[in-house]
Amino acid sequence: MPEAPLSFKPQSTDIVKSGTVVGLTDRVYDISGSEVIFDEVLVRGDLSGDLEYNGHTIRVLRVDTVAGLLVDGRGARGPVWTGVVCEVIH
Amino acid sequence: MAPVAVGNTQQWLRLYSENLANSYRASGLIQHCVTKGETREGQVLGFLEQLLPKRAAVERNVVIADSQDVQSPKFDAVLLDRLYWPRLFQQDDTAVVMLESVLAAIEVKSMLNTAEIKDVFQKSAALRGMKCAGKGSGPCPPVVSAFAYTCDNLLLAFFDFACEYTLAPALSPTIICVLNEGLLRLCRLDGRSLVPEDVPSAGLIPAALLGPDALFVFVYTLSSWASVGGGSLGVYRAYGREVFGAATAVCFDEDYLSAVVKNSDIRQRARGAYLRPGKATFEELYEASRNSIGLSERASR
Repeated sequence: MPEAPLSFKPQSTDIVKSGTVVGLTDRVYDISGSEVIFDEVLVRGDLSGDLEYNGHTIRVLRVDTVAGLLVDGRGARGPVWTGVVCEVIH
Repeated sequence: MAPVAVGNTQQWLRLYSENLANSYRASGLIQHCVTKGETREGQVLGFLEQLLPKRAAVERNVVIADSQDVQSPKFDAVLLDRLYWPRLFQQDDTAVVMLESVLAAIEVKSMLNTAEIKDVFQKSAALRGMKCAGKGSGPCPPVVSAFAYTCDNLLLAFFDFACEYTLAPALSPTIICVLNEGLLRLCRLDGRSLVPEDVPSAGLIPAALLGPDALFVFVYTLSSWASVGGGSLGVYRAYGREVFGAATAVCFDEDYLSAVVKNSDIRQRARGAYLRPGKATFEELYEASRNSIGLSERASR
């Protein structure tokens, strides 16, 4: 009978590298398949290499836009990457 | 000093579980069936009233109505947002409340068997099929839960729960707690983990969390519904890290569930393997059930 860990921790927007939050997505993204595209990531650290996102290991493949400061209807924030394409390792 | 294997909160909840089990046995001496049933409802609902956040009231004997005048069956209790919503009707011990004001419905069963599981699913279908006139305090239509004092055959109950969910996913109850034995609960697969999912929908996985901490996880789940995302849950989990940090759950393979709901003959054949469990493990009974319907190769999730 299949057995799996039961995770009670709610989904978060944290992108984590070596235990440190290095980015925050604009919302919680469901990950299914080999790729995920984040509309927006608030950069908080080094986003290179293997990253953890809600139990998945992901790696950034490319980024559409890099902005030091983004100002729009949701306020001012930065640095921000938009259109962040990530490979889902597992 | 050696690390403590069981934390205080976990111990308290296990002691509450023992108390409830003793109260159940004591009420078994009452011969009048209705009085016996009411006493048992009162025991567990009184316990929930003591422990759950006050943001939601535990209201007993409730009929839920929607704006189209459709009424649910009577539920043993509901978690009700009394802060912002009026009741529609109250007389003696029975209340009629607005669909949108209900955070969750609770059914209490002395023993979880096939008939009682069907009853919970029928009541859940009636409630989850009702129409909300606007945004509710929680998920609308509300989610449904059940508590059972005993269960003669938990694997059979799990099989029935999984089949009933697969046949009508959106109308299913979310969680059934069996005191001191385990929890049957809807989850979704996230990576390699099962993650509890509150609102029933297609594509979820019926899972069973086995063991003596069922009441703790049930109280946690009801607290999460009662607190409406108040942010206390992460802290609550820290008080039960021995339970929440290392929990695992079992589930059926997808190919198996798809096969058993195809027709009632296959379902009855698969079910037959669980009827006389003896000393066999869950794993052995499951393998026997798979074999009985011609599924030998395991297609793991």
